[in-house]
Amino acid sequence: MSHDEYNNHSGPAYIARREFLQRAGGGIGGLALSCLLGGEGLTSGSSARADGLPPDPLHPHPPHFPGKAKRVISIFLFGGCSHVDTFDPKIELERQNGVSVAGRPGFDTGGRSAPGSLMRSPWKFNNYGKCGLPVSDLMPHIGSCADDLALIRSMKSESNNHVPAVYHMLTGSTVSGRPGLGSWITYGLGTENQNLPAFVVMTDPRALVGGGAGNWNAGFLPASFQGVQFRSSGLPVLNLKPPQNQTVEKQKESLELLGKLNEEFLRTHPGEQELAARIRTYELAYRMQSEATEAVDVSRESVATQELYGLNQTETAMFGRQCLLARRLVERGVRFVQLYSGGGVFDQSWDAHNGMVANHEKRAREIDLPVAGLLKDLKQRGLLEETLIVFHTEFGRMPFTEGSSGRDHNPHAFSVWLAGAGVKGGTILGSTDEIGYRAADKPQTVYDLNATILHLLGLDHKRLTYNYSGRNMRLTDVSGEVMREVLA
Amino acid sequence: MTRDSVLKIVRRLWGATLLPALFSGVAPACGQTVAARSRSGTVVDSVFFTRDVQPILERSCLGCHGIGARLSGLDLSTRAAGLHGGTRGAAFVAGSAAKSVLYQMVSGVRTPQMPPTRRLSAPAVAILKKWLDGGAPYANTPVTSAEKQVWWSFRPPVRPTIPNFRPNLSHRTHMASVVGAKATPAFSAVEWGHNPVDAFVLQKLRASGLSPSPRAPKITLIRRAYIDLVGLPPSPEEVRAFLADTSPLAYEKLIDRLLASPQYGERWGRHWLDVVRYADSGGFEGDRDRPYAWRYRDYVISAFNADKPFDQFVREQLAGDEIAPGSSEALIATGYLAVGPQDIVMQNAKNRADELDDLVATTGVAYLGLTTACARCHDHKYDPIKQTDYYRLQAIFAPTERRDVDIPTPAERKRYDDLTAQIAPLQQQIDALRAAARKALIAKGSAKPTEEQTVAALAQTDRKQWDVLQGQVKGLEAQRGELPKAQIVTDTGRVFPASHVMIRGVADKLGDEVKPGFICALPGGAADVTTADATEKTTGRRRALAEWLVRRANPLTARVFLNRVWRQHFGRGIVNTPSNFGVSGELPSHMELLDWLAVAFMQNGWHLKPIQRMILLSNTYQQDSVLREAAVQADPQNRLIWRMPVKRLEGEAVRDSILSVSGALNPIMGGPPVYPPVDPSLRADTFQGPNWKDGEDGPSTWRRSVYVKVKRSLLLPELEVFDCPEITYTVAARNISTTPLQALTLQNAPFILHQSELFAARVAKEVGANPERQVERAYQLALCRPPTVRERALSMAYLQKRGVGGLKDFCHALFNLNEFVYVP
Repeated sequence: MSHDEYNNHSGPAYIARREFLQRAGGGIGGLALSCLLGGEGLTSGSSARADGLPPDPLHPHPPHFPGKAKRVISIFLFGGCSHVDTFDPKIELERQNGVSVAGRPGFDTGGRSAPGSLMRSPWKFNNYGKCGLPVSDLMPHIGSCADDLALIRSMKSESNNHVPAVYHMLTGSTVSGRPGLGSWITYGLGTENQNLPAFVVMTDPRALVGGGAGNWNAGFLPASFQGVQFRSSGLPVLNLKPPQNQTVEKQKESLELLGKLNEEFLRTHPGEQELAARIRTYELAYRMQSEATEAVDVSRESVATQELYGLNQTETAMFGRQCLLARRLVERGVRFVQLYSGGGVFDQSWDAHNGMVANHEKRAREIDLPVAGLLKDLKQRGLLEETLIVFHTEFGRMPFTEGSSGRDHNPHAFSVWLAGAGVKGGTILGSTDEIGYRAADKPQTVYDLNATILHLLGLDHKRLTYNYSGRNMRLTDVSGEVMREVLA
Repeated sequence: MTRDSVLKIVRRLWGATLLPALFSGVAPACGQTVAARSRSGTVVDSVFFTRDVQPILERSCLGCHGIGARLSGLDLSTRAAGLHGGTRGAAFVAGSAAKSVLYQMVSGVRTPQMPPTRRLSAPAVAILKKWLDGGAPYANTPVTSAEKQVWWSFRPPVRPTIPNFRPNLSHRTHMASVVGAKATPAFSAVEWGHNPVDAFVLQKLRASGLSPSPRAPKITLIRRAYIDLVGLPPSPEEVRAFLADTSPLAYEKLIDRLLASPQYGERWGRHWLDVVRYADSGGFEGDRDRPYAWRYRDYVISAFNADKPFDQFVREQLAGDEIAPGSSEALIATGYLAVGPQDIVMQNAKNRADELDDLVATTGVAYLGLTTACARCHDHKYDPIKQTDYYRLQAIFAPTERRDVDIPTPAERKRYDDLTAQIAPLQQQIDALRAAARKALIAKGSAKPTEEQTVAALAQTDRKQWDVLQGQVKGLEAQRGELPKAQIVTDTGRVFPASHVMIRGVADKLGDEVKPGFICALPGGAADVTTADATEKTTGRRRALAEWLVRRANPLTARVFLNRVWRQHFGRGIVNTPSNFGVSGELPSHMELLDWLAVAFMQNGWHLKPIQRMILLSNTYQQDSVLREAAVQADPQNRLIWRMPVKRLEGEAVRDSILSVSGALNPIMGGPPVYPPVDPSLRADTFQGPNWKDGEDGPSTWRRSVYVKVKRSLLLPELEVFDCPEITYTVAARNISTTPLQALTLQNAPFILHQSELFAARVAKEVGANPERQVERAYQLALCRPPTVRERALSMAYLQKRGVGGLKDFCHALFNLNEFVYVP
């Protein structure tokens, strides 16, 4: 089934139509209820439902072509991670350190700060792995996974302003209102576990990423494809459970009453698929209560595993927990997990306008070990073969100073990497100019990156469309070339 | 766009509406005449073209492949354009019919055969062959298609005859001028055909061998009408009174009462706010609050309540500052132009182009139902909207800027001025004291005494007076306060620099200069707006646009608006792509009905309520919603409206219904937005401070949902989960999704639990401790009907088993019922 066809079956038109297409008698309520209370219901991956209802929009859906990746973990560094201080060493900056570029033509800061002096990276670079990938001392643990990474050094963004650039990276458009990457992917593929949200988001609990929920909104897609925020403590999902005083027994009684009382309306409106579908969501919600709670219970992990993610260290415990949760979620069939490092402004994020060293040291230390732990853990469990890791940020930083010790936003060049399913580890794609100011060789756009992510999942970015406002909308708009060089 | 889908459009275009007009008897006659001539061995030249070929192109080709539509990118109006060809390459190879795609497709050698429905006659095909073999000469002037081949929605609506119309003369009416007869249809009318809506709908149903559904029970009708018109369920007392009223006018009176209810505006204003992408914050980084945006929201609500003529509504929103600069109401109305998202962090050419795009796109879609924004980078792929049209429209908005202005009423202004006048003499006295003291200090040698030194130098009596005066001034200033403000949009001046096409939409790649104007392919759209339109302080461009939009000859504005209204009532539009009336949109299911409504609307002063009244009084609207097997088979999508669909309540209606049923709804209208509590995990600090203010879970936030803060980066979860949109663009049709998170919200959200308690307390207070009466009352309140015998028994058993606290959980269960969130 092409996604054009799928599109025609999943939008509002389909929802309106499907209530007529298949009809079931008044017994639906009873059926759904028995599923609910008996604990038997959906089996993951089954394509036909015993009760004859049409498939849920989130039902697993075959890709356009066989893709190596079955699920994605996106690790997003908000604020703009400096490429010249992490994955893109520049000897020329060592040589010209301190040379003023004030007034030198050719540097576009988009009307932001005036260029100061060229600044070498405060961090030493070491070569890692068989591929010899240079990574700075900011991320030694990630460096130790070098042979699994496909580094793209020639990324460009269309905006040098946080929120538009974040929207661009995470929704494909610098303007808000488009579906998030995870929304597109769950729209394309559904999910393997109906009892958990298909698209899970974990933000930095200290401050919200710029653009907020606009980054994981379903946009013009139905709300089923919206990212669901998992919270850092307590219940993972908002309103997941009834208040303390509500016992399981009482809840079951109430649900039983609800099921029975729903029957009257079904009886007088036989064949209304919407009604039957809604009863089913209570069944799913009920399952989600236990399954989501179990999924976030990291105490079930061995001490060794917890330490692999840095849960035993103050600095890494928070992001480590999110990385570990990400593994537990993809393990349970969640299609897309998105983790955010940083939020808010300046030093709550990677936005090192001043005090480059203090800012990036702190941020990097929080994530380096956990991200490496995630890669290693997925690998040892055989999950990395089917899981794609995307490590990205909205733009890079300038090779010259802003003020005395900071770097301003640089949309002309930055680095991202991919790892895992279908990715050719130990690869470097593209390069920047000699000081890292601009993507020079094989520049790559956000559209290219997103086209590649979809490709790895078996989705053709040109065919994954949704008709909205008279246009077949795409994640990649009218652009995007798959980065063949990074494919295994 | 695939070949097949283009073909589909072509088929729809030709097949549905235009064919009879185009082809009745034309093609064969044409072919015969031509054949006779061609036998005479005419030379293939421009005369041959004009006389023999051109008529074929005009009648059979150019409607789709002419200057206007250019389907498949093909334009056959000139030789050069034909040689240039379209997506299938050159239309012809001069000198060889056999090698020409045009000939291959009209002769059936290549598929799809063209024209798609009515084939050319063999002699006509022969003419084309001869012409192509002879080098495909054209005459000098481009060929245009016959005028009647304009896309349906681009032709102004003409009032059609109502089929089998039998106006019922026995009932009173407010609709005489609209219906064009002396009477109005009434609830008691047994037969369809007394109401124009019914007449049109019935005709289509009968033509398809379908019959309408019987009238829904009164108990269904009252809830349907309440939810549709005011977004709240009726109270048990209102239901009882309606059921008890056996007069034939009971239903009519109900509709009149609801249309007159102030809550009507809160409901229907909200629908319009979707169309105009309303929010209380600006989006992007920081998502800064817009403290005065709510005045526009309140303006919309009152406009619907007052049944403001829609043409006036359009004029005020687009150009209130130009048509009535002295009117606060008109100024507030320009909030329409201000409520779109705006990136305040960086202002450059690209951002400005994006802001203008928001205005062009929203205006194009909201009023014209055209996807104008598609022409930002290139000519529209399907509709006759040129890229230059886009930039002509962009130039209309180019001079605009957002401003916060004072908008006092005369009384507020007077009070403010009076208080200012009282302050002035006091201030003068203060100044005099200061001057004297300063003078004394300077005389003593102090060159520049500070305010502190001056005050310290005041004589004791003066100091006393100083303090008194200062106290009085402070008091009066506090009393005076600030004048009320609004965020409006106006032009930066009377003149504005020239606008240019942006090549491929890139903001700094300027192409040809364009004059402000409209969409050339629409009636009157080719006119330029000139400096002669300028008003005292503005360019007059937006006023000119507004006037063009509401001209009687504008084919779209009235149709598009009424189609939106229809969609709210029937769950699908007559045109089921409510924001796309273009070639890639759907064709209307009842074109004549839509046209009839549009003409009646315009002739009747653009008043909505009489039209809505007629719709709601129709038998079509009052149909039952039960599915019928045969009808489902024949028309599964209910395009022909053989029943009323079962509709899901929007997020606002769910929340408002809960508040209403629990008795907690605070009916206060208007004012700044309220902040119901949201979970701490969703709260965050931003550039602009906390993203959500603290609000109580209490009466101050238990307002209609239209008054809840619309923060672009954080929507109230109880609303968002039910598809309330994060509004960046026009929302023409909300999604209706059914998700487990909705179930979790209605089961566990603290707000819902609290409301369930209040609901239970209300029931207990109203009927006491008797469980049977409690069940009865709770059902009446939540579902507007008594429980069935079985429901009563189940509910009683539940209450008995649960004992204390059971009523709350029972009430909570009712909020979760399908029937609570669906209206049949």
